[in-house]
Amino acid sequence: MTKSFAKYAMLFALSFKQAWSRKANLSGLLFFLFILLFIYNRLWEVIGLQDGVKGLNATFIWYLLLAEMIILSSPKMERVLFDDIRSGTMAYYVNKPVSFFIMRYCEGVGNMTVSFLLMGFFGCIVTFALTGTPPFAWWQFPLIVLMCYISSCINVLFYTGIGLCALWLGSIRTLAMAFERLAFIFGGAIFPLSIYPEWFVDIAKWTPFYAFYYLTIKLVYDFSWINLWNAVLLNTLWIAVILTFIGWAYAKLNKKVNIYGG
Amino acid sequence: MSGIIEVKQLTKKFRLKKSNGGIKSVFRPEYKTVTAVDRISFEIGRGERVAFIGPNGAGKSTTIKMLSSILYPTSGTALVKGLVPWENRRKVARDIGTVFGQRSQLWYNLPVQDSFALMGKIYDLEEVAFKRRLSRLVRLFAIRDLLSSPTRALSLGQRMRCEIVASLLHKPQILFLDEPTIGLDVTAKEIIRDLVKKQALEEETTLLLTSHDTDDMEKVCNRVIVINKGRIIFDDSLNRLKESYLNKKYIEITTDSGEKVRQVVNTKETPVRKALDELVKKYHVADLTVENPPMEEIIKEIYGRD
Repeated sequence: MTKSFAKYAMLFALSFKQAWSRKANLSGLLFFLFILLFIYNRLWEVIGLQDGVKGLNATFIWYLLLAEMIILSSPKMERVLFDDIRSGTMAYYVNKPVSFFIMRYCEGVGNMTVSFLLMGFFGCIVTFALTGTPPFAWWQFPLIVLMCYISSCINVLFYTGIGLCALWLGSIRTLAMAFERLAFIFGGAIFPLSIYPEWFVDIAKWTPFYAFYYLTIKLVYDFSWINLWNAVLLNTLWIAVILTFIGWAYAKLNKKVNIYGG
Repeated sequence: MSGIIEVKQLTKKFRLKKSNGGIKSVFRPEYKTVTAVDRISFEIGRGERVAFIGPNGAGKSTTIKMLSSILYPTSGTALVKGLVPWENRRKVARDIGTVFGQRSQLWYNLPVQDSFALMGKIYDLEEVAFKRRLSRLVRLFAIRDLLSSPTRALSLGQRMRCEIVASLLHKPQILFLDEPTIGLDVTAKEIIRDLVKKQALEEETTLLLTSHDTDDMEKVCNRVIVINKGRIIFDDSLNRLKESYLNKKYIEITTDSGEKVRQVVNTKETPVRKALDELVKKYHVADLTVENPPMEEIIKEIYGRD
């Protein structure tokens, strides 16, 4: 058990190190985040002024920052898995004492953690400079960040699972793109779901994005122990659903590798 | 059977979809069966260095994939250290090392030593044992200067040396090398061959090497299995193959004026050195190469004699 943990912890650490070494990539990400926060801050400032609501931009820009930390920090794991399966690289890991899927997942989480931490650090400074005091109490901050990190881990799991669909699909890009768009809409990644009509929110509640993104990010402006508990509970439920799918797809994939190899 | 690798009537068939580009093939696909490996049997003893050679599509890699537990066979059986590899992946993994010339197990952007450390963890090696083992392999493969370089900065030859070290860290008793010299220049190929042989001799590692470069088998192995269209057509010592089928050398010279002259030498009748002397006297040589006959020719000859 300890040895198994050690090998996956090392995979996480190496992936973290590798992601950290891609300075240009990370700089581009932070630059994009800055532009996004700046533009949306201006937008919400104008809307706030028109409606005569003070501090509207602070609420929404902190909300946007955490949403982007979850979405943008996720590496394109579906493409990694797709390439592994289609090129046959996966076959070369099955004869090593390591689980291929957990290995790739740990790599994905290591990669995501670098972006998540950097975006969090840089984004908090920028958002604080742009909007001032956040809409949550300081003691709630670590809990909100922790929930966001858990959501990011689930997000990586979700997209790693999508990668397994390479087993049946010739291209994974369309599917991943469709999920990304749905995540933006049903997860309330740009605008909180509270501004949408009720029937739309009712539909969104049945999608995993509602739990991954919205319930977690909502804690920024609507923190309560009940909301936190709801977020934990629903996320756990979706983890179980995703893991069931992954277990089933992975068994099929293993069978295929056994038969066709690389 | 008592070898470290025992193969009996091993067969692998693939079912491939036939596509004629029509709509009908989408809804009612037709399949054809391709036999990649066809009832092969052989036994390899501990410490043997076996070349598994044949042209593209002969079934070499498929056989290696079955023996290294990647693939399930269609029929037949194989034992690697007494275990059926595809049924005992985790157990067999600790006794085998695999190097695939066209794949890498090293992390592209990280120093090579990080990939080695990961391999140590994957194979659950104790820290002290890992360091001792790494230090020995680093010395043997002369890669001390490469340890802190990221994989992306290595030449193909340097990378291959590191790939082999990564596969040997857990001290496997059997090493499968699938086209380890593919794409390398002449000097790098020589270095890899020398090092692989030296390591195998020192640690009595059993080697199973696939290649379609006949020089690989000549320099590294003491036994040759030739496979073609999934069937074994030759299985004997290297000396026997040399005596019977590798008695030709192709000499190609480029003269000062750029003219190319190619000569086939029967080494049973004329030593290569003598043939070279005669060519040098006759032409102003700017460049020359000496090569073994290509794989296809050896196979044709084996079939011809049979």
